[in-house]
Amino acid sequence: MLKAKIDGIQEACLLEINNASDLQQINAIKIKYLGRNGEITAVLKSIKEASVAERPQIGKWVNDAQKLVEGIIADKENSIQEILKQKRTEEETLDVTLSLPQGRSIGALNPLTLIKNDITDIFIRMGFEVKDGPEIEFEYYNFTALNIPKDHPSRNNSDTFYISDNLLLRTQTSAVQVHVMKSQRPPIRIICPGKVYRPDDDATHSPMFQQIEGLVVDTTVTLRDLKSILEEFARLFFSETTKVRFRPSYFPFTEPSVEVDLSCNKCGGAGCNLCKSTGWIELLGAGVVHPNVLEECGIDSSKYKGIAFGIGVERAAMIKYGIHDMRLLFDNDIRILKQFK
Amino acid sequence: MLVPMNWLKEFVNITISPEALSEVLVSRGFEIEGIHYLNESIVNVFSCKILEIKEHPNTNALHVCKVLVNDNKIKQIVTNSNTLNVDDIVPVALDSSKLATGTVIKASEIRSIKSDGMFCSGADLGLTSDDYPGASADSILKFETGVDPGINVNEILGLNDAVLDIGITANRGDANSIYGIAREVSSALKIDLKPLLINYNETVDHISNHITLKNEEPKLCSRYVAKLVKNVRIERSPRLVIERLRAVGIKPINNIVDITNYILIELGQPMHAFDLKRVNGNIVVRCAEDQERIKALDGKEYQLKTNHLVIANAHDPMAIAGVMGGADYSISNDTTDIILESAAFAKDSVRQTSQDLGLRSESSARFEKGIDYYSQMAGIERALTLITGQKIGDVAFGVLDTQPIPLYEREIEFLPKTICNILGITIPAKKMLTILNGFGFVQRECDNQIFIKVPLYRDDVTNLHDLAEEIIRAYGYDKLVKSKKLDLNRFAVLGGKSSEQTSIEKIKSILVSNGCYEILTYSFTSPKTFELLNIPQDDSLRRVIKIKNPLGEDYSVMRTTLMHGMLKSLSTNYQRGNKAVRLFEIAKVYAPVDCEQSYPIEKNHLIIGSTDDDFYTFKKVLTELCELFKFGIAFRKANISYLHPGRAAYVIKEGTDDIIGVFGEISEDIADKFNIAKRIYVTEIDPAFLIDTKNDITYKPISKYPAVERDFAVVVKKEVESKTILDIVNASGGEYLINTYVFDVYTGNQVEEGYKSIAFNMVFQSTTRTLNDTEITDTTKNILKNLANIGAVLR
Repeated sequence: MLKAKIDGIQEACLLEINNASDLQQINAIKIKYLGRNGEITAVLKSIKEASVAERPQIGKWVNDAQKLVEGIIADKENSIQEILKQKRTEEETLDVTLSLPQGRSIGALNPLTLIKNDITDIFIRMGFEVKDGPEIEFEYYNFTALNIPKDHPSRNNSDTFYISDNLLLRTQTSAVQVHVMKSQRPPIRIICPGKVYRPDDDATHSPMFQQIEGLVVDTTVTLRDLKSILEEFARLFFSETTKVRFRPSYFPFTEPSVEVDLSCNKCGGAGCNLCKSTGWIELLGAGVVHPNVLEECGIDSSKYKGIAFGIGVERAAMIKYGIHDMRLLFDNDIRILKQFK
Repeated sequence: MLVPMNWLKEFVNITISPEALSEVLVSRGFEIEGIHYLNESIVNVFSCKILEIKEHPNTNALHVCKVLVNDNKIKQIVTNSNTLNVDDIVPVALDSSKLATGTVIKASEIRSIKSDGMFCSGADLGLTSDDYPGASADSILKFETGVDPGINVNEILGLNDAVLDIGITANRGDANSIYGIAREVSSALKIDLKPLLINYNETVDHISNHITLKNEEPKLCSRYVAKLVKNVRIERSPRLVIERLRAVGIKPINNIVDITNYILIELGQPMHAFDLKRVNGNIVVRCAEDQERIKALDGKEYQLKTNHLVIANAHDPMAIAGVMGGADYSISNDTTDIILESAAFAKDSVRQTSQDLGLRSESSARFEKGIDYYSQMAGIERALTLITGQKIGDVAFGVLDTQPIPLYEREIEFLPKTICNILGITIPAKKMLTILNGFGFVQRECDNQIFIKVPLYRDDVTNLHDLAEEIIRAYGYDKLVKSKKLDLNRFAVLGGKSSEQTSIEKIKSILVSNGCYEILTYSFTSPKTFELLNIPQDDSLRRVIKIKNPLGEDYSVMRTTLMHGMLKSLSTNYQRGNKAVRLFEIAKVYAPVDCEQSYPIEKNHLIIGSTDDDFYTFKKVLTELCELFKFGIAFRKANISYLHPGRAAYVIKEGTDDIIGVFGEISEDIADKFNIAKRIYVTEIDPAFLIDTKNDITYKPISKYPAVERDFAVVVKKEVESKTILDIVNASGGEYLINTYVFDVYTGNQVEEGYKSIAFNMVFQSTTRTLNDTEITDTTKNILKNLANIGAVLR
């Protein structure tokens, strides 16, 4: 009798659960059957009206029914949750190709800083130390100590900015060499990046530009070592296949002096407008440090030799980035700067 | 230096092309700036003979001519010229020809009559009457007798030549002439150098009968040579001289001036010709008297100083030595007798004089680079050879020569091992000597030592390094093969960057991550920028270092602030439509010091500027940067001439009074001056403070116990700064107050006029226990009590 009642409740409940479609309905079912005043709870409460002998049996029936219902409700709840999650996920699907129209993005370093960093990093890998020096310099460090004679044209007003008779804006980072050699004993292996100044202003000259000076002083260091170092630099800065060519030149502070050409990285040496059909691009000046310079700095030139080179940062940037007018590098238009992220 | 191939061939018999020669010269250390083909400017223009001249049937303003170009070709040319006669030989530009002016000529019909081309004027061919007799702009050029019809005018005008434009390094003054280049080419190609042709006769009249020579300044004039030429006929130079001078860009003037210019180019020896009458018996090489004046050949008068060397007669300067002759003493149309000068003046003296007077010439340019030791005599003898050859004067007997200090060839001990140590490769000693011999260096052996004699014209060669260069440039730089492994580890040297360099890179990358672009502006600026920025007259920013020879006033002082460059860059961007940008720059600013023997001050500044922020967002850019350097900063209201009076602050090192920079909004009138119709925020600081900060991090344990938060809003007078509130909160918040910040400032309906509400949050936490409500309430009561002291009332 009671068993039939329990079965009836169970059956009705299962039917309702089966018909339920959302969590509210399930909740209502829970309250209706399993709540404090629920139908199954009511049967359980009525157990005390039964005889003691019947009680375990009835208790088992009710418990079984309760467990069964609970289990099925849980299953139903899970399946509804799952459906809801799926629905939600579907609704939340975004157009991943859409982007924010504006807003601040990341900035960028100046192309000249990038080039300077690239070059210094290469030389740091070769054990060079990065040194700084003053931009306003005494003529002694910029000229005299570098074996540049009093009557050398580079000292002219047309080639050097003067502050006073013996103070000037340095025209070359070579001036830093002198400071280092006077304060540090060999072996020396340094590079000196920095701003330098000369009174020129056109598409290929800026009155302010940047150089990277390199200097190695050691007991045995040769013109061939210089070429090896610069070949290594060319390989790392441009590409594995970049070749280095020396041409004789003249700088008062080096002897022998060379102009250093790199095989054109645009055409690979076949000839193009970047290299003016020569296959070579002039990038830097270099040489074996003149013994007069070593002696002037208190280094025994019979014991030590030096090699030095000077790279134009703007020129390197123009070659690497295909910029034809140097003035663009000082334009500061963010549409230019953005390209160098 | 322009070098015509044909002129070069006079001294060295070259058979290779100009291009091939260029490569040889490049490998020897000369730059080739270009190869000019002289015949490229005039194309398809020929001499023709006029056979017949008829009236044009349709107009009497024109004529129709039949001309003979060569045996087979008779052409018809329509012309408006009235000066032509039958049998004249004139230039005719045929169909598809090009004139020196760049004009292209086509055959055409003129008033219904066919014209095969056009007769040319002197100007059409780039000629003036100095270049070719009778050449002018408005009449058809008539060729001199002897010119046949059918010849390309380039041949007639000597334009069938290529000219090499050679760059010569400062040490190679000896190569700054046709002969100098010939010497180099001869050595490179192993072709004999032809000797200079010297051939002239002298009359019996001796120069010393006419003038005396005195050199008072042997240090500034190491040699002065003078020769007298009498009965000179001043006229046009022969064609060859004119053609060659034209090819190197020198304007022909008259035979004597042309000869001095010819020698200048041929041998690099500047020369000058004086009129004997004007010299009046004496030549004195001396320094100018103070304020002595001379009118130079350019027609301008120059005032001289005592360090300027002059060539004078008994009274007055006749020439500024090595720079320019005086107008009143040089040759003129009535000159009959001339004194030729060939001298060696000191480089620095000529350079100084030229610079002082602002006067440069071909001559001063040569002397500044240095000329050959021995070219004075060679130059004058070559000039006399040309004069004799052209039969334009009688060379007087004898020479005035200041008897130079005899020069000896420098000797360098030949140490092949040292040379190999410089070069880094092994070259046999014998090979080295062969190379040196090729350059004109000879050896002298003595007691098992070998000495290398340096030719006098190579005064740049003084030591073994110089010899090493001579050797390697002939031996070939391609022989310097890279060592298999770059052996830089013979000595351990520690590379890397200084902490300052690393810190600057860190600052830059932080700012880049924060959306800033790095700009680069000039270190020099205009003194007017201070007016533009309203900088007070007595402000230290106005103490600038001035450049003596700037590229103009806009670049005449070294900057003391990066502000102007930043505003200009923001403005440039704004004008071009980039209206919301954040820019930064790290660069030096400069200030003078009193002591002349000390370096001026130069130190890095950091500037950030934005047209894309409000005050507080922009502030975050700076505070976040400082945070990453563990450098605490505070802001103090300030009065800064170019900033908005209500939105300007000093940036202070936290807990001190040290001002490290400025921060704020650019005042409206200055924004207007830069044409920016937007709020601009800037901050300029001294990054040394950040760089110097020790960034030693020590771990602090995090608390396991819950944090308790409290929010309060207090009403204060409008002018009370939030920092005052927070300082009181922090000071009276006890040991457990770990953070406090303002999250709202409100003025409006709910708050009395002249007051504002500041809402702040406080976080309390202990590392050892859970805090209880009472102690927090006690603390906040205490905070509120202290706030009440400055009139802050809880809302």
